[in-house]
Amino acid sequence: MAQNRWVADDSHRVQTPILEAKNLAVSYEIRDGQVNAVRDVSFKIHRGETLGLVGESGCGKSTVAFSIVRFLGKNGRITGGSIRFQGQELQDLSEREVRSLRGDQMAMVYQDPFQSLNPCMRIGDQLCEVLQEHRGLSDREASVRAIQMLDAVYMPDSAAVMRRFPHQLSGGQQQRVVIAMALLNNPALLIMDEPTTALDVTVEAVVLDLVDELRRRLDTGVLYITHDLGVISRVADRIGVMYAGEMVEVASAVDTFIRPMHPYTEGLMRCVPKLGLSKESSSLYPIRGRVPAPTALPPGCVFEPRCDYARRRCREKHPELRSVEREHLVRCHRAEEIRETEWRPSDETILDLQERLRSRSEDGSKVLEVSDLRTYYDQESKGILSLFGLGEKRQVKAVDGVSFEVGAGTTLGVVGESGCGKSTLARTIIGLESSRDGKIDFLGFDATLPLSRRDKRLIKDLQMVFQNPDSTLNPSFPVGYQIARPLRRFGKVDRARIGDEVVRLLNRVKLDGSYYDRLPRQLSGGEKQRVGIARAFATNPRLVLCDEPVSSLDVSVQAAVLNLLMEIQQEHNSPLLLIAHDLSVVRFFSDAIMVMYLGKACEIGPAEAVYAPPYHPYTEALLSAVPTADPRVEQKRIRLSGSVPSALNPPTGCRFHTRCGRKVGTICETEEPPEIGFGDQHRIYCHLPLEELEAMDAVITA
Amino acid sequence: MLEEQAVTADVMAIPETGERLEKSLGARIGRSIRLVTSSWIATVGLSLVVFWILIAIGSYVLPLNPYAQDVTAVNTGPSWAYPLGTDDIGRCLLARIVHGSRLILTLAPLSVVLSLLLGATLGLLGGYVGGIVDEIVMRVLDAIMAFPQILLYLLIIAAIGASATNVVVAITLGGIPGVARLVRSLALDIKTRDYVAAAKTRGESPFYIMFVEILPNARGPIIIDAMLRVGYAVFAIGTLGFLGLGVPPPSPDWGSMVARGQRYIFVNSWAVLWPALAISSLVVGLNLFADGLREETMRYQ
Repeated sequence: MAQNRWVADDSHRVQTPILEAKNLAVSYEIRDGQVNAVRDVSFKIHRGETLGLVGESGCGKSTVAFSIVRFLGKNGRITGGSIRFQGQELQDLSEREVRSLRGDQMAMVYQDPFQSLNPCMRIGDQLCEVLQEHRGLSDREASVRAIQMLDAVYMPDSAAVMRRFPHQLSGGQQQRVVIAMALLNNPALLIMDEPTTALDVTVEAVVLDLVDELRRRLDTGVLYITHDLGVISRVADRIGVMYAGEMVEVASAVDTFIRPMHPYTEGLMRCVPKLGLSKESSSLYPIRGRVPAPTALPPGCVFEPRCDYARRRCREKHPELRSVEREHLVRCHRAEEIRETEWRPSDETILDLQERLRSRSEDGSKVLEVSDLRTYYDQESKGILSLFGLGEKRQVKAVDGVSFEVGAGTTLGVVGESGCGKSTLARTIIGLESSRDGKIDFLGFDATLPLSRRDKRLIKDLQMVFQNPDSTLNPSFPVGYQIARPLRRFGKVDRARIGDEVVRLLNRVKLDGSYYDRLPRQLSGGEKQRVGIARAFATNPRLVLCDEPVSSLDVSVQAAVLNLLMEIQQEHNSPLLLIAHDLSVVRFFSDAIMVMYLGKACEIGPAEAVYAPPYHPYTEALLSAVPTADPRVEQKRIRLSGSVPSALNPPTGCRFHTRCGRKVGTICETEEPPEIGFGDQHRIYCHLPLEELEAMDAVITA
Repeated sequence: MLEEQAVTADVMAIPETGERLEKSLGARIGRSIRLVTSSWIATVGLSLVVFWILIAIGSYVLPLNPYAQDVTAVNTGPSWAYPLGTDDIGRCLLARIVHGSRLILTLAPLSVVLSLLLGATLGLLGGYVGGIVDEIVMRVLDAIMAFPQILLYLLIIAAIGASATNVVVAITLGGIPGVARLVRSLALDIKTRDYVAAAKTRGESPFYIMFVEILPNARGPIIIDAMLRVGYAVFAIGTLGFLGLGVPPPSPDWGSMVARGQRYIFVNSWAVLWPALAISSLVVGLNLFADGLREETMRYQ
């Protein structure tokens, strides 16, 4: 935008902000009364600036966004304060005036791109509709502008994309279309509510770069909402931390991460593992307690019940958001004192655990040995011939020749983008999918057998922790029954003592006996996941498979569940297979790591070796894409184009060659990459010459 | 599953509600009553149904004889002796309606329960086991569904004769495909949940998984569907009675009462009006109750 170029870096501070919320309060009507979801929230967004709103779920972040665009629903309304958009009070506007602002002056991008696009309209028509509605452009002008915008978001082959339907695009492409749509009318304000949460890290990195570049180029103000501290540190200029419906800290991104002043912000930072740190060298400190329900807020500071610094004053008097330093606002009575004092964990057990982890001994025996495992799904073509069983049968090669082993008492982490076959791998080992070929040797048992033909001891010794806390427990039965069931089946304890054993297991996962009679719907996500862990460990298994055990939990809960898993693992000395997409979590937790791409292993080895050069080019790209919750960290910028190809028709040769930035030549397209060993069981499958692999630089430098 | 969500789900995710499990039966009943009474439609429907259930229970205690004929009072309107009037051979209409309610409120729920038992089993088999079993079960049920419902009843009754048992058999058979389809679609969804996978990895039997892990979580939609089905069954029993294929005379069947009264409709329309009103109020009541309940349980999703 040429006319905006004269706006120098500092001058926008004196301009009227694009958006200014003052003492905003929002409530929802519910069956019995009203919930004050957001209270006393104030912030400003200037042109060309990104304000990040961060906080755990239920803290009112999305409510703030919805109150700006007036999407609060039937039962929500603004009960106090003001929202000024370019100097104009939004609450004074009629429904019609607000509607003409939305999609024109302000635009919103939501979490799930597929739900934001109309599945039965072509992309082009959806884009042009926005322009015709707000600008009254002709068909021709609109489509020219739409193509320009698709080019601006780096959509390959934009003219062809205009004619496609949403389902013909990948998730990352869909999100780019949604962003293009939001930016069509050069909005002054762009609101993004978790826009990359549903995307893979490699795609997320591309989208984040794009948002940042477009903001700079179009001088748009951005309100970016996310729960992910890594993402916020990458995109935001200033950060507002929300807790229980209140803004507790507002500061520049660097200050928020380096010198957080509110105990909650500080606590959040301690919950996430920093990329590269391991469980032996550092600990996660979860915030104790839980977010209070908006109907039962503490009378003083909302964070007081969970705060390590709380004094009597905090319990009695509600703190105001006040300026402690220039451009650094905090809602805490003791911010100055806290800044000076060094935080110490009050919980000694975590340090004990770290001590024990350091001193543990591995006897080197193998628990699980998988060699050349293949799991294929048949997919019949949809032609008429398939009705008669004559159709051409195609195969999805979800896992295609993977070999690895898990040693006693250790953790193997498996990482990769979605669709790379890591979940299928776990499901094959446990018997939920049947393998096509290869061997799985588990303590002398053959684990390629289907579940119905497996030895009872094998079933008992192999357990799994599932991803989704909402579906891991059967909603119809109380918690106690569900933990008791494996005990009954495998007759581990006397029938008379099952009740006591269940209570003991509940205590193991830090839940008290009162949970015995509760139904799953009365538990929070973290509590459900704990019960799932208790159920998996009830039979004293010899190997536990964890499929994304913490990925749908809030960071503070995630830290607690990870600590718990570590403790239980330590106590049972049982090895784990940990599947996760979060590279920091995997690095933190695992002793060895396997990187998968399209059903094949790219790189496997000890955790510290995999995260340091030499890398497989795919590992290198993943590490470069992962958002780190530390603005001081420097990352090499490697971006993968496109998305993971279909496993129905995987690329020949090295499967990564279509997206690889270090492709050697045609050999990558024709020949399977050889195994290159680096000693200490570190193996890379790549055509790159040894010298080039060894000459790689570290992706992440602190 | 559905009811539970409605009770706890709020407009926003309130993270940690320390709600205690309501253990006492009284509290649970109280909660169910509150759920029904919060919907106007469900309340009206439930009142109608309860009214007829009370009447049916009353048939055991009230001194009413549905078979006694009074030749001095044939085809009369309401009077002190006969509050609803009499039919063409002088039987008390009140007595016949009251005893007819007992008959219909036994046969209709019985046939629905039977179709639920059989249909749910077949649906679970098809949905959970899948593959060739699913293919066979569903194609057979499709074949049954291909017949218009009423024609199917007529065929069955014509083949095995008209009796109370055979009416139940016919309606049960007619209901199985619908129940099976519903349960199959629910099972297809529920079997992808992690707790089913967890049960499999414990080595549970398919029988346990189908009836303990899956079925209880499908109960919400099944209960609502069953409520509607009782309504259809009342209707079907009435229709069969009207066509002379229902419970044979002299049983006080509402459908055959309409058929019999219809011959004298211009002389004494009361004999048609009362049983017709009885059938429609019971069917409407059941449908309203089911609708209201569904709306109420879906409201906060």
